[in-house]
Amino acid sequence: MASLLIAVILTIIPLGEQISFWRPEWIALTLIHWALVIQDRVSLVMAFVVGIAIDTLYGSILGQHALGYVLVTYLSVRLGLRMNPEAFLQQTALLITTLGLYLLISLWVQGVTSNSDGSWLYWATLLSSVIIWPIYHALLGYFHTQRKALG
Amino acid sequence: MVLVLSALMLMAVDYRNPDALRPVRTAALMLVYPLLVSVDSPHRFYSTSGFFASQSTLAMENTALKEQIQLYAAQQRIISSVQQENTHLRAMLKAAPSASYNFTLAETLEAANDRVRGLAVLDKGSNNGVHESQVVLSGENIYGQIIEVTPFSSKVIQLVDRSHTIPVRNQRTGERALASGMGRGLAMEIKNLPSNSDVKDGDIFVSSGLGGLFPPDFPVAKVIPQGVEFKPGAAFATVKALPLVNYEATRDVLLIWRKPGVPDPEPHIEAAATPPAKDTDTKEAGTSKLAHPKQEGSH
Repeated sequence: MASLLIAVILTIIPLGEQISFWRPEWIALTLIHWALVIQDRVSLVMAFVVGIAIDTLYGSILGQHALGYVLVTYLSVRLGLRMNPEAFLQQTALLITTLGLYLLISLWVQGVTSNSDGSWLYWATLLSSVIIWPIYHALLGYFHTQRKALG
Repeated sequence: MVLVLSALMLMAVDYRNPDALRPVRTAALMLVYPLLVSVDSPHRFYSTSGFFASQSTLAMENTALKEQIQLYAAQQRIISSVQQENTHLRAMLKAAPSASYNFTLAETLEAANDRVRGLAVLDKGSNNGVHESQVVLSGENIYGQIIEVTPFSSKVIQLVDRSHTIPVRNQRTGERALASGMGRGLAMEIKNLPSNSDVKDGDIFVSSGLGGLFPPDFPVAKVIPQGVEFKPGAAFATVKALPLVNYEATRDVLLIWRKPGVPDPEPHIEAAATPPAKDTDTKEAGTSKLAHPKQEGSH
């Protein structure tokens, strides 16, 4: 999964202190994209492994991101099966629900491990993720269909 | 479900007993190390190759550095003779030799992480003799300490990390306190200063050496303007201090090895009988500590 690798790289690229609040949740977006496109063939184990890798890189407690990504993937597969995957409003609703839940769980875990700085800017990433989603979704979809056409 | 459960279990174990999962962390860090290097490489090329630096800038820098080296060489000569004298005196007093230090340069790999944590990955690992809870310096200031080691890389926890605290001493008054990190980009908090303490804006806190990990008298943080607050009724003052290391801009750090009491009083008592001039030479050839980082760092 090259797209996941790119997402990981986008996640760990260093940004300035202020901009980094607005970094979209690239990995979660990628997982949601695949959950919507190839539905139940998306791998939960993959989500878990990537989560562990991010936990190591970020120095968060082991399992925090793993739990979040697994839940995001699972939920978006389940919800994606019940809706029209290409309807824009429905997609946005799904995005806000799953990402919101993911961020909420992360916040809880951070609160328990006293790793949270309690700033409202924490939620900026949700906004930026929703804004970037149509472009990212279209880009990933473009390469996916192109590869299918070739193969 | 199994994965969710295992993630929860991992978190529980990691929270209760961080040591139990150390192998997992180390393995994962080794796995993602290539990624870190690849993310870091454009930055490294841009900043360290000097490809875009003009020749006159380089020439100027070169002259300045040469002057500095000469200065340091002269100082080193004085220091080594004082050191030698110190060893002799200690040998005569039959006191334990004082601890000395070895240095190596390392580079941090640029990568983002949690805002409240201050963690960085270094490009030196246990293959280079790095070990856990080793002290890392940046210039003349304390940068942090090593918390995790793999064969090629190591993870350093910076002083600004929320879970890190270092024992400090006010350089002006000698008052002891603790400096806790509050997250990257935020001021550190100086704790345990009594409410009648005479701490002022601009005071510099240096490491106190208590606890035996950090060497004493290295600068740690400087109190910010209006950073001292005495709340009525509180037992301790609230003091905010900015770390003296610029964590956003620092790439080159120094790893130091503490050599606890080098046991060589015997040879030096014999050496005391030989003429002093010759003794200086052998001393310099043998244990010159400052020549070491130059060799290591010039790769």
